[in-house]
Amino acid sequence: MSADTPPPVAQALAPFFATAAEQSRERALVLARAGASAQLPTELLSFTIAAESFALPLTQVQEICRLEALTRVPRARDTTLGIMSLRGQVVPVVALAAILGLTDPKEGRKPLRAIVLGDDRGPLALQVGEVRGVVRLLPQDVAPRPFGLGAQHPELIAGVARTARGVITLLDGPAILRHLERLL
Amino acid sequence: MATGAVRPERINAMFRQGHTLKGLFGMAGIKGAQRVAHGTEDLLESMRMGRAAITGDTLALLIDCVDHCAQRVEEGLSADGGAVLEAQVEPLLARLQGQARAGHTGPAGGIQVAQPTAPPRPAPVVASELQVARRPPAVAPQRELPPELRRMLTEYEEYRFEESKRAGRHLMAAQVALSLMDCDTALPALEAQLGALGEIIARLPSAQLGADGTIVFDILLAADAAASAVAARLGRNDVALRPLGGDAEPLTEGPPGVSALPAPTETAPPSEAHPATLGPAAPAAAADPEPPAAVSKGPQTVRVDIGRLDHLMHLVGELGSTRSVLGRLALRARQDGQAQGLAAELEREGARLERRISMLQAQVLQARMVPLAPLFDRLVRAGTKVALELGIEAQFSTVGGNTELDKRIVEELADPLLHLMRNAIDHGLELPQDRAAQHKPTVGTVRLWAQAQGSHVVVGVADDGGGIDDEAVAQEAVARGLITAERAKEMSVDERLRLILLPGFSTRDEVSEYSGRGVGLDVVKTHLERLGGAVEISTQRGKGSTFTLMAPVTLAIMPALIVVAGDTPYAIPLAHVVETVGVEPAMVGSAHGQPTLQLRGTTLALTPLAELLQTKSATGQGRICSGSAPLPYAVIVGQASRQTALTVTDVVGQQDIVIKPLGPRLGHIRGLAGAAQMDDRALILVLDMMALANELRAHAPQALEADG
Repeated sequence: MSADTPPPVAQALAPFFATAAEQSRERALVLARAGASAQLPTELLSFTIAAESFALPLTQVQEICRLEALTRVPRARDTTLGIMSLRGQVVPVVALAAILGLTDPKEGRKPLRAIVLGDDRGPLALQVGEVRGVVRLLPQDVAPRPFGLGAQHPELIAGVARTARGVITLLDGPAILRHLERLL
Repeated sequence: MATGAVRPERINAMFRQGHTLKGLFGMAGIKGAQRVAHGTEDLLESMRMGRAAITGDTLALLIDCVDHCAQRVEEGLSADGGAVLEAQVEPLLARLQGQARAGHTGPAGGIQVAQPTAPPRPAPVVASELQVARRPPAVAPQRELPPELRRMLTEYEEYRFEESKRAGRHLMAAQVALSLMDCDTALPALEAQLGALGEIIARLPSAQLGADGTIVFDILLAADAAASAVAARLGRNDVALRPLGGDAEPLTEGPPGVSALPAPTETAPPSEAHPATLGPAAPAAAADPEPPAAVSKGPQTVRVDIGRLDHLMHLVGELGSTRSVLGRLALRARQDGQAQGLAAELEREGARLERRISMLQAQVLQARMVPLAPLFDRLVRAGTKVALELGIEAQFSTVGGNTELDKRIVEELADPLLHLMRNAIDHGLELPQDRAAQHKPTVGTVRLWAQAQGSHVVVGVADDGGGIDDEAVAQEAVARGLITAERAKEMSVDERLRLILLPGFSTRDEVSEYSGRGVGLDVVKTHLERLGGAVEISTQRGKGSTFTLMAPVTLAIMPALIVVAGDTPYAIPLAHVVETVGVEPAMVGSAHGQPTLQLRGTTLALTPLAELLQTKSATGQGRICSGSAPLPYAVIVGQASRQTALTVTDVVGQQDIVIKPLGPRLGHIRGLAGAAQMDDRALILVLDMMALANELRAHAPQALEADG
C-alpha cells in the first residue's frame, strides 16, 4: 500500500469523524433501544449501591461522571437529588438507592459517582456508590430475578448473576428510565 | 530504507493516519493506545514541519509505536493481552518524549534526509506579509500566494508552500469544476495525475457551488517544471492551470461558468491582463496582482473561537453584578445622613456604568450573530445529494439567508434542518413519473426560508410533494401502540400530524438510508425544545408540507436577581422584581393571621421564599404560615396592586443569566422556569414568578387584596 493515500478504512471513516458529534447522540439513542430488546447483553458495568453490587448493560450507559455541584430541586420527588450540569446541559440526578429501597449509613461520606443513562426524554443521572468496572457475563452465569427481590419495583430488576466476586443484581436501564419519566 | 530525499507527502499522509488512529482509539476508549498514538502524531508533526530529523532512531520508534497499536487491535480486546500491552505504554511514551527533545537539539545521526532540516520559521505569515507591504509597487511579486488562498491553508500547507518557494520550485494552482455526482472519484484521479507531476500542497474546495451542480476545487501544486510544461504533460482541458504570481493569465481555458482564482480576477479582469490594452496607470496593477493598497487593507474579518465569545459574554454578566454592588453601596450611603453628596455621585456614575455595560452586552451579543446563509448552502448541498441518489428531480430556493442568529443556535438548528431537508426529499417529493401523472412539474421544489420575528426567528422547510396523510399517521401510531384507536378518533388533524414527532415513528415500512435511521422527527422536536423553540407542521394532500421551526435569536439572556432562600441560591428574573428592601421589625405586621409588610403606606403579604418553594403546589393544603422570625431581606415582586413580598436570607446581587430548560423530566414543576449556569459550574434554579404569584393569590385570604 502506498503511504501517499490513507488506507481505505481511514477513508471510509473520514466522513464519520466530521459528523461524529452529530451522530453520537443519535447512536446513543439507538443503543439505548437496542439494549431494551436484548434481554441479557454480555458486557455490563458493575457498580455498588449501599455496598451491594449492581450492573447495567454497557450499551445502556451513556457515561460515568463524578457527582459534584448538585443543585437541589424543590417540589420534586424525594428520590430526586437535584440537577447537575453535564457540558452545559441540565441533567436530573436521582438516588437509585432510595428507589430500590436501600440505605447505606456510610454513603454520605464517600465521593459519589453518577451513571448517566438517556432516552428521548434526555439524559438522567443515577447516583451510585462506587463504579467497579466492566464485567462480562455468559448466558449461563445469569438467572432470572428471584421471587421477592426488589419488592417495591420488581420491574427494574432484570435478573441476577453469580460471579467470582459474588452475586450481582442486573438492572434494566429502559425500565428505570420509564419509571423515572417524571420526577415530580 | 536508504539515505535519500524524503517525499514530504508521505510524512504528511503518515501524520494524518496517526491522527485518525488517535481518534479511533479515543472512540474505543483504549486510553493507553490513544496516548501512544497521540505521541506518535506529535513526533510525525515535528517531522513534517521540519522540526525533527528523520533518523534511524525515529524510524525504529515509529515502527514500535505502530506495532503496539496493531497489537492492541488484535489482542488488546482480550483481558490478558490488555495488561501486557498497557505495561508497554509508559516506556514508549518516555522514548517519544526523549525523541521530541532530541529533535530540538538537532539531528541525532543515523539516516539523514538529503535536504537539511529547516529551522523553525518565526511567525511565517507575518514575515511574508511584511515583505509584500514593503516591496515597491513596481516590482512584481514572485510566486506569491493570494491572501484569499493563504487564509485557507493549514500551518503545514503553508510551510510546504514556503519550503517549495525556497527550493525554487514552480508553484501553480490547478482549478477544476467537478460534478457533485462523481467528485469523490474524479478528484483523487486528478490528484493522482497531478501528484505524478509535482507535490500537491493543498486542495481547497470552494464554498460556492458552480454552474449545473458542480463544485470547484483549487489544487496548489509545486513542480520542478513550469506551469506551461505541467499543463502540456497533464493534457486535460477541463483543468485550468495558472502559475502563482507574475503572469496572471491562465494557460489553459477553464471550464465554462467557473470563476478564476479570486485575487487576480478582482484586481485585473482577464481582458485587462494584457499590458498593451491598459491605460497609463494600469501597468503596475497588471504586473502586480496584489497592489499594496489591497495588502494594507487586509482581511476585514477575524475568526474567533466561539468559546472565547462565551467567556466574553460571561464577563459582561459579571460586570453587571459588580454594578449592582455599586448600587447597594449608593443605597447605604444615602441612608447615612452625612454622605448624601457621595450617594448622588455614586448613583450618577452607577447609571452611566450601567448604560455602558448594556452597550457592551449588546455588542458582544452582536458579535456572536452569524447569518444563516452558510447553513442554507449546506442544506442545499445535502438535499442535492439525496435527490441525485434517489432519482428525484429537485430544485431549491432559499430566502432570508442573511437573517442573523447566535452562532450556538445556528449550530443547534443544523441537525434538525438537515433532518427536515432529507425528509422533504425522501418522504415529501414524489418520483418524476409520479409527479407527471399528477400533472405537477416533474421537478419538485424545496423552499428554505428564514424570517426574524422580534426576538425569535422562524425557519421553514417547505416541499411541494405529496403532503402528509393524517389518517395514515394516526393508523400507524395506533399500530405502533403509541396511541389507542379511540384516542385516534378524537384527535384533530393537527394533533394527528404532530404524532410524527413522537419517538420511534415512521410512516414508511421500508427504512431508507436517508430518513429512516431509527431516529425520527422526535429528535428535531427535542432539539428545538432544548433551545426554547417549537416545531409546527402544516400540510395539504397532494400539494406539499411545511415544517416551521421557531427559535430564539439569541440565547435567552436575562438579567436576574440572585437571592438565597434557606441555604439555596435562586435566580429571580429582574423583570418581575419591583425592589429589594431590608426588613426592619417595625415594618412587619399581621393581617388575617398572615405576616404582612408595611412599606410606604401599603400592606403587602409577606411570605418566606423557602417555605413557598417547599409547598407542593398541586396539593394546595392551606395557607403558608411562618412562625419563625422575619428574614432580613424582602424582594417585592409583581405588578401594581398585585405586589407581594418574599423574604429571603440574602440578596447576592444582579447577574445576567442564560436560562436553560429543565427538560421533560422536570419541566412540569410549577414555579421553576429553568436553570442557569453559575461561575462555579453549579446550576442555579430560575424561578417562574408568574406561577408563584398565582399560587400565592390562590392561598392568600381575599381580604388582603382589599387591604393593599
